Amino acid sequence: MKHLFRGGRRKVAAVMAVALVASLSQVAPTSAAETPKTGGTLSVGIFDSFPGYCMADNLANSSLMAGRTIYETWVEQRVDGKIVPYVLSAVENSTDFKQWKLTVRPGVLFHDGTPVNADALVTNLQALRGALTLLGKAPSPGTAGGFTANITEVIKVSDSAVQVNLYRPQVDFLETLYASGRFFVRAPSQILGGAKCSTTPIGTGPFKLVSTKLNELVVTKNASYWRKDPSGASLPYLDGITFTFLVETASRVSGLKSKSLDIAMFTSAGEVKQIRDLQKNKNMTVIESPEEYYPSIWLNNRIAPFSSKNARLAVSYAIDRVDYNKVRNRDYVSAAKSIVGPANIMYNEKGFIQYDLKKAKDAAAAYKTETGKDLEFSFPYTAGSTESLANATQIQKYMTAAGIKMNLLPLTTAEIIQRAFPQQFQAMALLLMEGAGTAFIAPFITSDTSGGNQTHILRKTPLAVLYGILNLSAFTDTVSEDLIWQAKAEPNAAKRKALYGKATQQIQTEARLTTISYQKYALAYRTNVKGVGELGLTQGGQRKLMTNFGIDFTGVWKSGK
Amino acid sequence: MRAAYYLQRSAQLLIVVFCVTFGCSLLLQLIPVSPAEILLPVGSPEERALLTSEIGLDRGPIGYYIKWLGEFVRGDFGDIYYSGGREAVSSRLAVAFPRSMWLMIYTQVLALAIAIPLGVWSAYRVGRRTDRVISNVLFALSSVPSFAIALVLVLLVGVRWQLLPTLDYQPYSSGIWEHFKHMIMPVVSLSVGLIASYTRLLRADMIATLREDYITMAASKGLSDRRILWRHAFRPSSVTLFTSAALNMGGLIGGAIVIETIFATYGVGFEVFAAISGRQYIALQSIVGLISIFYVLFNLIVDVAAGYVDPRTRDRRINA
Repeated sequence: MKHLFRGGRRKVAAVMAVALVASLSQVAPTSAAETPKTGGTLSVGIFDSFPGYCMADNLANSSLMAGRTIYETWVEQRVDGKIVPYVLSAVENSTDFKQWKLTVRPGVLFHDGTPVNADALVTNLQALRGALTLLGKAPSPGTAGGFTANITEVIKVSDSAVQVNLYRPQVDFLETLYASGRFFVRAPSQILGGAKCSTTPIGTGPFKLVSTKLNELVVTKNASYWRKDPSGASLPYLDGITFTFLVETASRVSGLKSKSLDIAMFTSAGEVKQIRDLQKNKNMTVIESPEEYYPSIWLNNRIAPFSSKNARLAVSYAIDRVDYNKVRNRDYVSAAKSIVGPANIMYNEKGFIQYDLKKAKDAAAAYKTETGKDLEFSFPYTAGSTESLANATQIQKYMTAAGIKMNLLPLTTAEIIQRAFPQQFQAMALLLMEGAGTAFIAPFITSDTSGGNQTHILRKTPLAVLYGILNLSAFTDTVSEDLIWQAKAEPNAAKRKALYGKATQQIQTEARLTTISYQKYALAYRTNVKGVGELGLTQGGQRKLMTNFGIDFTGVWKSGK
Repeated sequence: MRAAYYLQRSAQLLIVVFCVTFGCSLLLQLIPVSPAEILLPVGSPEERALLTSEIGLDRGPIGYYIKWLGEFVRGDFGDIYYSGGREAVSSRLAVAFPRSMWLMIYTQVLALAIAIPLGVWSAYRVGRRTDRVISNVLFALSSVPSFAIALVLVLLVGVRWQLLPTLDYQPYSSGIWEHFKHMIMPVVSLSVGLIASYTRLLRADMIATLREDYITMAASKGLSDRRILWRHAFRPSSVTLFTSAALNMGGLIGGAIVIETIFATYGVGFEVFAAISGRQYIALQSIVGLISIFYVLFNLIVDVAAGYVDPRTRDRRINA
């Protein structure tokens, strides 16, 4: 018995050692002993389609990964969350954080052969903030107009430098410039190219466009790419990549297993079973993003029933987050304890409304007393998506238990997006907020992203709607909004975090929106794919290995044939 | 007389195309919000007004339809609208259409190549064990949806045995074997159901034909069974089969969305899906118009062919 016990311990230790090695290999795979090989192509299966490449065409998650092979960003995010210059070479700010001088890296060329310079930077920033749209020179900036509304001026100060003036002080302006990897360095010829802006991406990235369709992006090596590897060899190593939109998870899994694909990306939203299956496959390496993605249940504060706090409280109390996470996410991710995750600077558990069926029923009863009506609302889900329906049905189950009537509304994704941003739904589930910072959080929980600037260029135009369009809960909370702007102006990190935390508490106490669980992404690749996460950034440090937009392909190479 | 018949058939088919396309264009008018708002959700009012005029939506239902039709017959199928520009529907179809055409042609060829001998043999051996086995197997196969067959093929042929790729389409220019390698599983998935239905159709018609007096006469004259089956019985029995095949051709061009999605071949079916989900109504109208043309075209071809295969059919229709 004793012997068996000892042996058992050894076995456990051995298993733990193997597991540790395996887990480390998933966190930071390395092929440092191997010399990168040039050539070869990769096939990558993704779960998002390609809506286009202009400012308002928001590439999502896995298609963003594909888009980022063509495009780079002015700044890049390191694994520690710090934003550092990338296509820019230097950034300086005034002591009040209202002026930012951005200097462009010399020697970088767009795929059309034109240089990246101050003019290109001005064109990009002016296009993002809608200034070129107002002049009729560029298409609409879309939601980017809201993200960049704190910018008041973009001034070229030299051939390589631009000064950006802000209305409100913003310590984390570089996060805005990064926009979670979305604010690409686009060639002026694309931005000003009229009808081809959405269909002809021209960037500075390691790969350039061969062809693109709604379901496919084919890129080829950019022979004049500006970066070199640590040994001085040209980048990228690969000759080309084909990204294919495969909406069916099974197609991505079978594609990997049959070697039709080299890499495939997955989301924890409905694909946990497949991710776990691939993790067991010895021919695959599976890497995961952090849980830095925060799907929200947006409760429209502007219209009934959620203009009533009682209604918002009832719904927030009614959701059994732990049960939902077990049933729908197989406990692959964490149940929410705040509207954002622990990695985010705004994380605060105070005021977050957790499951309490009795309180849910009480709040629903209070709503009836207040309005004379039973609490009832509509909730859209993606028609034809069994996952979306199952998620909505699960929430509906909690509502029914609390005596709340939730009507399911089957709509196409396009209809959902179209009606979501004019804030036409009573409630809806949508993943918008992400990351460790606030650039991709604050615009969704403020009513005026210009910070109240009455002379902002979009103020008296139809595009002024962009200031608050991202806030799907359509609320104006001066307390939380003031705290957010104060935090943005606060250079002391601890004080900044405290201010953001208070803002979160205010939003949670008022039940403006809620969160059920967090989300992460996974990427599986075959053993012939090498170099994932090994190439550092130009100014030192590493990128995050895996994010919602997958991996960086610049230093990826392929072994064998 | 024959010319008048074919002209009449052609006119009927044109009316069908007109009804389908006009119906689609009316749907655009019935949308509660302005189509320009849908096509340019982030566009300015000026851009939307320009688009409304450009598409012809300001001309009323008839004016809009005439404008669309005029462009359609000239090969301009309209545009797909993005937030930053547009793309011609024809450029999308230039990629998608060959994929669907090949898929349809191979599927039909494979299905007919297997179904015809099976149907003839099954009818010849009617009531015997061979016939019962074939009938039962086909009955079972016809109840299995094509996507289920596709998934089984992917699992066995693609994943377990790794004999064929499970994804993507390759044109002829990539090499004939590459092209076929990528088409085998989608084609087999779509063919199985068709083989079952074609065989059963042909078998039923063949059994009826084999009971005709002229077949008895042919047998009494000492003609071989093979000659009787293929020369005298098959021809008049194949009209229903080919009519059914023609109907399926149109369906396969636009309706193979599930198989296209599983194997990532992305043909016209996917374009229909993309136009619906992206609310690209102009594109949808043009693609539906195109599919309807193929439907009626294949039916016309079969009508004409049926007249030659079995002249009685044509004569009956002319005299009707």
